[in-house]
Amino acid sequence: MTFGNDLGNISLQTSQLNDPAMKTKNAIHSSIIKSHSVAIFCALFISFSGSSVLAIGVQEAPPTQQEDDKKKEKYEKGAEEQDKSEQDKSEQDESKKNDEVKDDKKETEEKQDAAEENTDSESPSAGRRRGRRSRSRASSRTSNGFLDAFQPVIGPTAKATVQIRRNDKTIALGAIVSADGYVLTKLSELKTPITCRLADGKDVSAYVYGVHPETDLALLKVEGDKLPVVPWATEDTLDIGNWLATVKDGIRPLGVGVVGVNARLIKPQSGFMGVNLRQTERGVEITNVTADSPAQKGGLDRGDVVIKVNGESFTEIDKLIPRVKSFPPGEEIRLTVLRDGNEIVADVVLGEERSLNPLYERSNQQNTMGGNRLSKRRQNFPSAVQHDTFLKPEDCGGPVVDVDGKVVGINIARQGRVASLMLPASLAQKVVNDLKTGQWAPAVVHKNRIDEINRTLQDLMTQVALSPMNNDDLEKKIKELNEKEKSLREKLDNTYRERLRAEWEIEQASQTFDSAKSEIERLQKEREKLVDGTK
Amino acid sequence: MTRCLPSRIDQPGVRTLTYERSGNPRILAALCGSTALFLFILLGNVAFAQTDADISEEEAAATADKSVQVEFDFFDGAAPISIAQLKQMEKHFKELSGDVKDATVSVQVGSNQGTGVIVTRDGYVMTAAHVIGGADRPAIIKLPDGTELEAKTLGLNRQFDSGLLKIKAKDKYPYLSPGVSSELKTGQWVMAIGHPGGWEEDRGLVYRIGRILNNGDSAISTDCSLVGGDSGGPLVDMNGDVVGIHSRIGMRVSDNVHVPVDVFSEQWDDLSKGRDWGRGIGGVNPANEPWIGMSMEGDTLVIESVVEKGPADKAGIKKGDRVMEIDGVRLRSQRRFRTLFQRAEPKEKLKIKIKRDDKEMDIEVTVGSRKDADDLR
Repeated sequence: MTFGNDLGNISLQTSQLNDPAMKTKNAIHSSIIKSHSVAIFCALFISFSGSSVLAIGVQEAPPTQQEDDKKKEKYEKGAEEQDKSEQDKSEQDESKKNDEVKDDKKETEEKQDAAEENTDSESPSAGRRRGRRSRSRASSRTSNGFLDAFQPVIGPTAKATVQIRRNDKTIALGAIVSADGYVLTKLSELKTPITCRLADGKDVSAYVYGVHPETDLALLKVEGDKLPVVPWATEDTLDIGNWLATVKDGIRPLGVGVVGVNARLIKPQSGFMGVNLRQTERGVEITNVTADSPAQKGGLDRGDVVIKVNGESFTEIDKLIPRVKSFPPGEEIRLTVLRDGNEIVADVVLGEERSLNPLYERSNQQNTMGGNRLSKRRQNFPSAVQHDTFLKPEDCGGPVVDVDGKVVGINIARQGRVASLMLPASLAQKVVNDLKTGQWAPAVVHKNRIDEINRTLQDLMTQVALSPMNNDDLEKKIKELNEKEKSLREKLDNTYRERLRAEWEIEQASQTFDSAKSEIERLQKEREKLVDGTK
Repeated sequence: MTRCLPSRIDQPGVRTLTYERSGNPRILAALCGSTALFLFILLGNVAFAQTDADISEEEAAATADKSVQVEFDFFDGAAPISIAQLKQMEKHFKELSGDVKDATVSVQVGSNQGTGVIVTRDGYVMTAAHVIGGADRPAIIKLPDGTELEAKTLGLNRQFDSGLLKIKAKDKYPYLSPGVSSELKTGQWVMAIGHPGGWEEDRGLVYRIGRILNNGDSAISTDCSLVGGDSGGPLVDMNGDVVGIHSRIGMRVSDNVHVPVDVFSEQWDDLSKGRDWGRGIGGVNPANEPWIGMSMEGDTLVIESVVEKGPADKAGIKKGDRVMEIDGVRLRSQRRFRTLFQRAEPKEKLKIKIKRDDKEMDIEVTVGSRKDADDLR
């Protein structure tokens, strides 16, 4: 991996400071660099290397010693130019500081608001709250002045948007999809018990009516009969460049972006081996094996030349890497490598990148730095539109409107620094219809999945028992079956875990029910007593 | 490859009337290729004189037309205040994204991967210095449709993080014209295009919208969010002209830094000749690393030896001398000396204060380079 070197970063400051002509002009660097304490070296490079398998690399802030150097440098230079740039900088610093102070203040205000909201449902208008929270740099695309342009169209959707709350915190947004109280939201952010805060500030209890793990959507049910419903777009006409406004509450969108990539399949996370590769004349050579990586556990070694993956021949690194990446974590793949002229076979159970690759951590850091938190589930959707609205995980699950105010999708994940994902309206509506049938109730879903897995296992066993095959076929078949069995077992495990959770939830609910019942009984007795008393 | 982007020069009547703010002579020059850019720098006035006349007619037409077609001026950084204005921008974004698509490419140099943008018909590609890493290296340019083309890295200025490549095969490539970044205004709308996270077959290019937050001579910052893999990709203004090249990011999602395209335009001659210079964001060219030709005892500041005919020797520094100051900065550690010395440029004159026999004296050293060191060996 080559990313320049640390020295490069040192010079980022110093060369500019050294050159008087550059100083004033570089206030911008300085402001970016200085504004954060990790600071100077936070200007990260944004290229990455493809040679090491499955690893995005970034160059990152080297130690803090340079910061000292920079301070000294400033101290030591006495030129007038320097003063000027200092002044510029300090002005910028000042404004940054103010920003930070404002941010803090905002947070406090937010807390106060939350407190207010808790005690008084008739709290100040949602629009005003929103306003105070928003960043307000006039010339940015998050400025209130700009966001306000959407005011005329987001009203109907804002009225039908709810906040899913748990422990006095908003954990997701949701869209009311029918007047009798069905609310669509993001499944994986949910943890019961939950309440829904309606647009008028009222908190109502909600339960999970249906779950759709494939799209990560959930349908909630709240009490109601004449609730406002989101205005769905009737056709998918989105294309790159379309405005998208994420609605929360109030008259101003939570954020605005544009379609950056049209709807596509978002694949599950790729498998990870933990090797660095390079192209040689003999083929793709392993130049490094990370300690404790799947590759090491599978017996791969530095100097091995990979020639086959699951029997398929590879000579080019550009073909090999995507192939390995195409397997999901947990999959076992068979690599054939050349070692000292001999062909050796190694079975590698692919891992998850994050598990041990420090580079992954770094790239992850790029995606998550500056408080940019990501959704837990942010991969593996049948179809999603990518957009550039700055969102937090708890901003997902709610409706997104176009410039006509029509709901064109449901935010489903904050995926990275540059990407938010939205399920298209057509898909979301289809899921709503499915979930409304009641066949996707959490308990039913879990039971069905277990049944399905059991059936498939049965089928497979019967097939193995019955099929007359020659040896080669049989071996291949067995391998296939083993793989299938393994993935099924994993699914079974997952489902079992989910079932446990569902059971726990049912348990919780019945406890609540029981205590409510006894409370009612107690009250009834009390009433009887009172009635007796008056007699 | 014969696709070509619509641009005001190729089809004057089409986009000029609707979108152009004003004719830009520099772009006319840039369009003619590298030579023209070079000419522009040297013979700017002549080029202007000739093109000004052409433009004024177009501009007149544009102005006349604009009153009808353009309701508000988001080209200059205004924020839309009505749905009609939002729609107007949206329509423009869509056209723009189509226009910029074909010229935005994936760049692979050795194990580095980034983005780039073709800026001349004959295949010059702008990218970031830290993507190409050095001059005269083999590179692969991947067009959005997946076509791979052989290329060669030309020059790079590591101070600004500007880098240039050239596609080898002679052909007519789709390209975007460089704009003038010094004219960018705060708040102006821009679009960032690139391959965040690297080339992804089933995703392709990613488009982001944002505004100029700050415009400096050596860096532009916007709220177009960038991430690893975007490096070298184009930041375009609403005319579809390249105004910046993605370089680096800060902490916040809204801290994104681009190399101003003017850096490329002004240094086009050096870049296209394959010069590797400057130090900073793009690292240091090893050959340009400063060299003084002396060593110190342990981690002290006492000279242990000097290389014969090396810079220190020529300046009169001797074994046993103690280095006290460098360019007026008092030294307390050898590390400090190294840090400060690393910043010197070859051929630069450094004032070094030494102590010899309890007497301090100033010595002027002409800094050498790693290359000088190799030559002496």
